[in-house]
Amino acid sequence: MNPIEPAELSAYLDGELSPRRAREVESALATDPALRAEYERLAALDASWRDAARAAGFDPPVAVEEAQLTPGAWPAWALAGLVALLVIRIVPKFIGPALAGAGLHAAALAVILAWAVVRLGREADDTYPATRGGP
Amino acid sequence: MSGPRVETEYWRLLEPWLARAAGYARSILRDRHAAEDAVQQAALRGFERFADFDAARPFKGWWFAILRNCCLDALRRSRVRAAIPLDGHEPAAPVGPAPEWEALADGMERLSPEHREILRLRYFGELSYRELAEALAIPPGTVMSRLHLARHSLAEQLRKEER
Repeated sequence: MNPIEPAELSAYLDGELSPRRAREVESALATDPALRAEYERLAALDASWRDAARAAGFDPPVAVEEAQLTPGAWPAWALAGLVALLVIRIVPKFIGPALAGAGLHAAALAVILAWAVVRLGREADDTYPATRGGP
Repeated sequence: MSGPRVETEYWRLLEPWLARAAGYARSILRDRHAAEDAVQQAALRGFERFADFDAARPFKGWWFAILRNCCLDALRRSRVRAAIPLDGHEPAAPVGPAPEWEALADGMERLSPEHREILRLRYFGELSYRELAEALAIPPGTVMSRLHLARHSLAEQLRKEER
């Protein structure tokens, strides 16, 4: 049997050794008091750290909704862009280049309005947090 | 697989250890609400990338790597905010003794980044060796030796703090 490496003692504690090597460690622990003492020291520390760490856990509110991942925002933005493009390219042809500046302002306003509509719509939907789990 | 089936599968893999994920995030961010936000963000980011996930790999390790990045991003943002104090705004003083998990997280905080990371994932996240290897992108053999050394460093650190 190969001598037990210190790191293998950790792995044995964690149940991460192969069944064969785990049996070899068990045999060594039964016959080597120094190794046994080291193992017990490690095991006590591990148990207290695991207990302490578990106390930090809690059930978080988490929502994974298809709608959140493909937000409805982008088609609305595309619509806003289309409106802006129409205002910039077409309006000046009808009302004259002198009013092109006004067209630009109108385009900006259209974008802002579209954004506000999208925003209000999302808040009304209130898909988040459609929670699973909770505090 | 698409739509609700993907969502169901993702949720099936994620749900069993969300509480551990929250504890892990809390050990880094030290704030329950910030931890909730990080877990939520990681849940969404993971879902966005779920189509590229290789089912032969351990899902938990893969997802915790995402959560770790979300936590570190949040930590950077909070440090930037802390560096710009608002007039008249003082951070709240802690009330009563800190819970034991905070003492443990404090001890880990003082270790090298490699030891700190593997211990946080092991104790707060409860990741197996295979999951640790995935989350940290290191070979499984390295997990065993690094975790062992990290435990010794933490024991030494906590002993020093007790003195």
